[in-house]
Amino acid sequence: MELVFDLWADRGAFPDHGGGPQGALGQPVVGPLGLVDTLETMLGLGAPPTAHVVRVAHFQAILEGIVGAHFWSRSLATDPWATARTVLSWRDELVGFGWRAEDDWDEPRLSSLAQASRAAGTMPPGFVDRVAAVLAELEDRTTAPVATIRLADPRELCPAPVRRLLDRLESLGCALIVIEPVASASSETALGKLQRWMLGAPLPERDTDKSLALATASSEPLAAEIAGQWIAGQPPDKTLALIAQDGDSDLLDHALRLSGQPRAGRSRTSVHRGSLQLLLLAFKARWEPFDAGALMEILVFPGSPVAPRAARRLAAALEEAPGRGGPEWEAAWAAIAAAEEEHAGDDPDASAKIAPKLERWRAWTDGRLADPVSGMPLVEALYICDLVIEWAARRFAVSDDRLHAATVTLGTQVRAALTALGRDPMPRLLVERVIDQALDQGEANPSALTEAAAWRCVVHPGAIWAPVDTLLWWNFKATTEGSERAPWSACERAALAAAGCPADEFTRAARAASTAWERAILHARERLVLIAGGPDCEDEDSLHPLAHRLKPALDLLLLPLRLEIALVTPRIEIAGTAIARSTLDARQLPDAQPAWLVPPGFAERLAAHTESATSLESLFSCQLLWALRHVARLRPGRVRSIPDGNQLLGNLAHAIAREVFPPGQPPAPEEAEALAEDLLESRIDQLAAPLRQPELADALTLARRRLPAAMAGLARCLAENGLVVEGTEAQVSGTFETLLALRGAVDLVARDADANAVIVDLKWTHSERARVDELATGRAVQLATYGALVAGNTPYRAGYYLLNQRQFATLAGSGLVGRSVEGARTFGETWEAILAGWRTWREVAADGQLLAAGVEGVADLLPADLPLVRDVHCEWCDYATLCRVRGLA
Amino acid sequence: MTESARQNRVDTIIASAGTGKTHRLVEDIVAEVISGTEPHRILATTFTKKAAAELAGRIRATLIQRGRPDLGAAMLGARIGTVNAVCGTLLGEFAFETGRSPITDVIAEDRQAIVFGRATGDVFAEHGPVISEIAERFGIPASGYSLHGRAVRGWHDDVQRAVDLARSNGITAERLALCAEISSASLLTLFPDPGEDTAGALDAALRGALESCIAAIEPARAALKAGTLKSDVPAVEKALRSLAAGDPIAWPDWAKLAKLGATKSDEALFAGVVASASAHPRHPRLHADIERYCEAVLGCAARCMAAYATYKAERGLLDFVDQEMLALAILTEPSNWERLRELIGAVFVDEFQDSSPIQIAIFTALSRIAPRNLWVGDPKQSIYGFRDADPALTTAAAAAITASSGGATDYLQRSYRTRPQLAAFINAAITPNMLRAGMTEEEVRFDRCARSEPDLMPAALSVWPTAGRTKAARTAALAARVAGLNAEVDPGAWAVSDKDGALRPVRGGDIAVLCRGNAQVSELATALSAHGLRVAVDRPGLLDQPEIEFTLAAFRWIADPSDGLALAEMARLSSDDDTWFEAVFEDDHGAGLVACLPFSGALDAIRAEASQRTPAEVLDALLHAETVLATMLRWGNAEQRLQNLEALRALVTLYQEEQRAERQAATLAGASEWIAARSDARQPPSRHPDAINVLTYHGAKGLEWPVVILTELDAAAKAWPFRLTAVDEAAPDWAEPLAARGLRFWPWPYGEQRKGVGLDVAAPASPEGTAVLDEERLERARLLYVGLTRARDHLVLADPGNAMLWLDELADESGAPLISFHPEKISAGGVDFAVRPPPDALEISAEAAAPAQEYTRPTAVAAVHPPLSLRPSDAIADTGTVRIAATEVLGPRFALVGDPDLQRLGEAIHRFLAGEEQARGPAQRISRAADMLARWGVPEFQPEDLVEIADRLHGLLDEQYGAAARLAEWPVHALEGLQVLGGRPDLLVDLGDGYAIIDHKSFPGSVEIEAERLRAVAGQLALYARALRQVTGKSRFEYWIHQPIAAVMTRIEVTWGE
Ligand code: SF4
Repeated sequence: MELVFDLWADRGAFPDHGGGPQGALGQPVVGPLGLVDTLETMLGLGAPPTAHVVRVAHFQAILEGIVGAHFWSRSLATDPWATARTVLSWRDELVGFGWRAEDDWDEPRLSSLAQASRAAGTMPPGFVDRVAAVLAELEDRTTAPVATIRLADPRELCPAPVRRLLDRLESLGCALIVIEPVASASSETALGKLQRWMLGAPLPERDTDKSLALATASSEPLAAEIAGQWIAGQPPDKTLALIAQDGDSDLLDHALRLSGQPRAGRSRTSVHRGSLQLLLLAFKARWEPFDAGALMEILVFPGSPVAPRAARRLAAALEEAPGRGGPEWEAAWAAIAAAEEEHAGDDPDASAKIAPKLERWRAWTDGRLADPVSGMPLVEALYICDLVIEWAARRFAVSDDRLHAATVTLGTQVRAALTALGRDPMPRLLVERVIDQALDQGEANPSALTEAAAWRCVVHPGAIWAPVDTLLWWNFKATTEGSERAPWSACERAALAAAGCPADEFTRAARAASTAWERAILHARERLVLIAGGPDCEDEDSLHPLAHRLKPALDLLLLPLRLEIALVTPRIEIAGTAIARSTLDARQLPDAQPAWLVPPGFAERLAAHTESATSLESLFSCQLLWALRHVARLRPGRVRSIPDGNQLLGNLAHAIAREVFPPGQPPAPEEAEALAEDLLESRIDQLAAPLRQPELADALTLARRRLPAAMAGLARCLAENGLVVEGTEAQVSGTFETLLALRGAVDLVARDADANAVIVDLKWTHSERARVDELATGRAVQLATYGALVAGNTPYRAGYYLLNQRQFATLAGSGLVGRSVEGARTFGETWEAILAGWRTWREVAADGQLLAAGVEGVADLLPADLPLVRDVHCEWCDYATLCRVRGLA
Repeated sequence: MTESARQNRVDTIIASAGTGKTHRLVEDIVAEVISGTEPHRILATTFTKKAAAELAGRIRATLIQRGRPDLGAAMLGARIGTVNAVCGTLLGEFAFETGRSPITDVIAEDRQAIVFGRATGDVFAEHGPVISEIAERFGIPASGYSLHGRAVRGWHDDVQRAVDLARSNGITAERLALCAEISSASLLTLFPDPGEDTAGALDAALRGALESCIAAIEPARAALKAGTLKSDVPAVEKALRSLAAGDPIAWPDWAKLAKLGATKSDEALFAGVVASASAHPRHPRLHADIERYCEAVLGCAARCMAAYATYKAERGLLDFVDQEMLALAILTEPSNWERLRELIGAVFVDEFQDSSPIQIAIFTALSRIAPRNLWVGDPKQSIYGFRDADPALTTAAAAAITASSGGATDYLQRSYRTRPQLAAFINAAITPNMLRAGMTEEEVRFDRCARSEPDLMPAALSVWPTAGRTKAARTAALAARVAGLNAEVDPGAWAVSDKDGALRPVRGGDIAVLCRGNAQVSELATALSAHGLRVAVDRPGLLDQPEIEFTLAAFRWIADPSDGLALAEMARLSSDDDTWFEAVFEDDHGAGLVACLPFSGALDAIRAEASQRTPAEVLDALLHAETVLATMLRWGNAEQRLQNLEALRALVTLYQEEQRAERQAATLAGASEWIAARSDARQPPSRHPDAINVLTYHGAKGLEWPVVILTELDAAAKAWPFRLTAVDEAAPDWAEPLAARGLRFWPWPYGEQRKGVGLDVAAPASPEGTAVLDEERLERARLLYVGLTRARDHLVLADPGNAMLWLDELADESGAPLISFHPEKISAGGVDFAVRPPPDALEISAEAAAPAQEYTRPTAVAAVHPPLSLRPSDAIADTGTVRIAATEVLGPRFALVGDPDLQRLGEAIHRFLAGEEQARGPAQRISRAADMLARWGVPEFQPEDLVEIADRLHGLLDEQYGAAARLAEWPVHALEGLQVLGGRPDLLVDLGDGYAIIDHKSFPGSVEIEAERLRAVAGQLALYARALRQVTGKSRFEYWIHQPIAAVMTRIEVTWGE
């Protein structure tokens, strides 16, 4: 066999084999892994591969078993995993030098490492162990298993284990031939001049031509777009190598596809790929305090373990009352069960499956929460792993998606690691660290596929080991390659050298990288194009370090190109390739629109629509908002719908008030306070769980501080006014004006001594100003609406109880004790205004218009004498993108 | 001092603006490396990452130019970075020595507040009630917010700032209690003595006055003036409500009550209240509140320090302060010195004047390690006081350490940047202030310019009138002048010089307008945009841009198909009619809306693959879904839109990184939510060469432009001492800069009442107040210096028509302003400088310019491409016939005992056959077979049997082919069309004119091979044959299936159909 060895060839090389144009037999191009694998195969060695995480886990156990103080001891106690990983990498590096753990080492760290390494005798082999095995095998041989190796990288730049292998092979008679890179381009061209300068010729004269280009764009997709077009424009008879620096061509592949080109199919490993996330999420939803957001993410997860039909109901319940175990949550489950029953109908088989199915879903949503500090019982942690494994295995069976298989592996590894740690219960941080480590580098996109092309893509410039007509270096951006630092001290180096296993030179990695970068440039025969995209990428400091190396010559030999010009010209040329651009038909940006034509289906929708006090409030502030939210019921997605802190406090207060004030005499203030205190925590869990997240600590403090006192205040207020509670959350409905159907729930309806109704609406607000102002200006829509619904034509009184301020705000002259506000209207008058206003808006709609009250220019369109107008708050409106209030600036 | 703690020599360079500081630094570092200090032993710190990258790049380029590419390559391993980055490398290398995790997750700067919040939630919950109670009386909210462009700090912010300051100044938690005491004591000296009155008496008096006041108001209400009714009466009512609820009256309300009766005619009504309320400054409860508040806030901070430390320790997290503190600990630990000296041979500090005290301590410690130290900076450009740089300390430290270590101080005074006229003006304008601040002439003045005054260029200075009644009008006036300059038709009128001295007409990118704050930057940018000018400024409102709204809507819909709003948004933005609006009101609006979107199918497809992609990849995929990008680019201004999308891409990546740092899941739904919360995300500045630069004075540091316009020269000093700052409690000691640091915390107890409360007058007159003002003035002078020195060719002073309060602070001994404006000249310190006329102010043109034609990629024909590699294992002979030509029984089949893993057993057999050497002795062969089986974990199989398998195979081959060469696992590689045929056939026997291709199939199944399997194997073998034919040109092939366990060799024949 005749090998080509290239340090960077393990993920593909150019050319991809060492033979002639017709192909190759027994002439592969190999990188370090390929070299070892080839030798193992030829020598009858090799073993099943072991994931690195498994080795680290083994090594951690080993380190923890070693007694005595060692350099790692304190760190091991702090972060066992990372410590084990680092110490293992040191040990591996030493083994790579040819270090023998059996020897006596005076240097303390070397001696400790030797002890660990000896204890690690049975550990699954890593790369260096495999090299050691090959070397040991070669010990007793007299002939080389490989006849010739051509070296793309000089031997002295290879890391020790590789170098030692090569040395040994050579001593067995293998011919090592170094491929000396030469200037491949003609000396007439700028590229040729650059190459000759790199090899020592003096700086050339200023001269640019089509052989050399450096193009940048602040937008990476734009850079990719042009690169794609450029590749599509290359003549098929020229060889072309594409360097996808950083090992990823995802973005470029989109551009290639859109230019009709085959895809390079390089995908970088990532821990962020979809299905890998489920394990993290599954755990996240199982720690105290309950994380409604995490559960919501599970429910909307692509391919969620809870079937969408059930997930939708649960998500709605979470939206309404983020928590578990409360009435909303249980109602959702009841509805789910009922729906399943209905679906199953009379089919006994289907019916039999319902219970287990619900059980499985519940396992995801209703699991017991664990204390993050004291920890989760091991069995539960393992159970969560099992859930994920089962989910992923099922998905794998139907999708054949390798990432699901990887998720199974991940779950299995975590399961094994959790078991191996021998801790029970397991604290949150530990669990998360284990998962994090098992994720390790993550996975590549399994559907990234290299398609058949006339060109080849490599992921490192060093993988180009022979001349190529055209070289395109994509993503010519800064890298930290070559900046690694070895841990060995001078004394340790001396000791290693004395023992015949010298450490690699300090600068080896940097020099090897630099040489490889340069090699790629030297191999370009006709054209070299460097492309970078992204913010600031045209700055010298954002470009690849090689740019610094080449700068003196590049300054003379090329004019950097800003690819943005491709947006404003019909044709650009890069290194002799013309790229045609097609005109973009300009289009008006959708304008802000104050008036909207009533759509055909509107009247029908409206007929079926029942108003509420809230919807009327919307109507009087913005008709379009009202139409979209209440008539069309256009809603944002789930995750965004979890209420914020203030809303949660309001919901909580309402729920507590409901229980503190059952129908009858109100409790004494102290009693109300005590009861509220008792109820508070459980109600938080049921319907306002997010308050327990640290981000809402303030709101929680406020709730604890203010809510019980507010209940006491409300009790006092009811007593002062001689009121008896008739009902809380009283459901009321009615039809007015023959068409206005109304429905609502009144926070608290009380009766005074004359058995007249007193409506109390509870409000949790930061400042009382807005509500007081409503009363003063006769715009208290809620109070007037509830009054009309509850009392009809009988007399009633009403007020806002402002929980946060402990104020009962009512209209002056009502005779109620509290903060009396001089009002411009009585509630009756307000109600009249509401009806009139509603009629007016109805007419506007009947005339075919819906008006967006916050859009400039609406003033001219508004009906003349609107009896009741509420403030427009476009800043909180979900529809600002639609009416285009948003994006005006 | 022991030998090992020796102080090495430190040299200093004071480099005025534009005097080639970086050049000098590069030269010195290059010289150091060439003279033998190994590159990896170089340590250089800069103020920003960008500066570090630039420095590293220039050093490498210079080394290469000097013919040392080897050193250039090795420089990749040098420590060049921000102080934090450099500290980070040390922490990594000394992790074991410090007992830390070798992997440290550094909390990104913009994440710190969140992490801090998580870590300290419990502490806040515990302390919250006590602090809130007093804070409410002071009118201080819990969390800060911004009101009319002014930031209102909450007490949470103060606690966090106290923690930050304490940590970065080395103040221990215990010491904070003392700081609280000192703080409140010093603040209370500004209040009058309580005297005889008790709190109760003062309260009662006010209550009485309020009650009589309201009693007097009621009957008179109708006759009261509007102002009284709007402001005074509610104040009285509010106070009474508080009293009724049993709550004390808050101090801002006291202060307000003391100022009632502004409307003359109603004044008398409030006299009693005013009289009683005016006692507030001497109210014992106010004094007590201040004392308790300082104590409570700093007490909470002390607890937070511990909680934050624990939280980080448990998670292996570090923030920037930790990094620096730990690095300092490493550097000052004697047992590390030997190793440190191996690692660090020379230290170069850039911009030392911007260092914080702890950084100075680090540099000082480094100077005891490295034999060579060079600190470069310019005290005149220290403008990061607000970020806790301490210019006085750093400058003193640099001077003292240089002197005491026997180092040299060098001054760079020759400007490479500016025109001589400007250098002279700056010398005249700035020198007196700087000299008074204790600097020397050589530190301050330019003494020469590398450039000569260009012929034909008009005067370098210009004053532009930008007066206007309102701030908006002044901004518009300035924008009009800039537009005028930009529209200048005479190419020589505002000619600018290139770096090589050639003159050319000015273009937008040559102009920079400097403002004091981000608000003014945004306003001016908007004003310039109104003129149709391109502006290079990062602007707020990224998420409000239509392309971002559109993209995010698509992203949200992929994440959550139930998001009807997202659908509606996409439809609204992508369609030109209102069909979507009709769809919204249909019963199933989802379906109707989807029908409006030509690309919804493509988004569905992305959703289907979302489980394989990262959120960032999903974003990229959707941007490349057919028509999506074009929809947005057709709105025009494609370049800016693409940049905004780039910013969005960066946000998604940031989200992912953050989730990783928190060890949490990164999901599409999570990303949508996270981004939606980033309402502060900004639009990146235009990169267009015509875009005018608008930025802050601070942001301009280190940059230069041909034309620089200075604005807001009328800004007044604030001198507001009510804040939390680090102070020196004793004279600072450069050798131990953290030894005497303390905190001063002066809360403002009157909320929004900022004037006429007594304290507003007493504070500025106090020693602390004067010191604050003095410091501020110095910093302002330095900031002005930075602004003045940015210009290469033209320096413009915008004259808003107000008193130039800022500029006037450049003053002579007597405090008189140095600079005065006259027609056609400016004098500065008695020297006259010619000014050139300003450009005309340009009107905003009424008709919008026609949008420029823009271009995109042409639509390509969608093509289907086969995979590059044609894997033999995927090949199936789907044409022709496969026939068993011969079956050779190799011996009795091997019975499998137990339940071995068949796949692993197969692998072991393959590998054994590939690497086996029959030449070895039997014992050795068996032991190798045993090793192989052990490694592959199949002890159930006998090593002897494995050897037997090999013998049987080779026996048959000997029989069939004699000594023909056998090639096990030889890779073959050939092209078929554009596809690559490649693989490693298990075994080839070289027949001379062809090959026998043998495939081991270790499944133990029966001898009969089912047809399906046979075709698969045949396909695979045939593929190898095609590859071999192509590579070798040989054409005779035989195909064998070897079943080692069943002990059968089957020769098959493939006849290809047409
Ligand atoms: S953003 Fe304003 S105008 Fe638009 S719908 Fe909402 S409330 Fe109405």
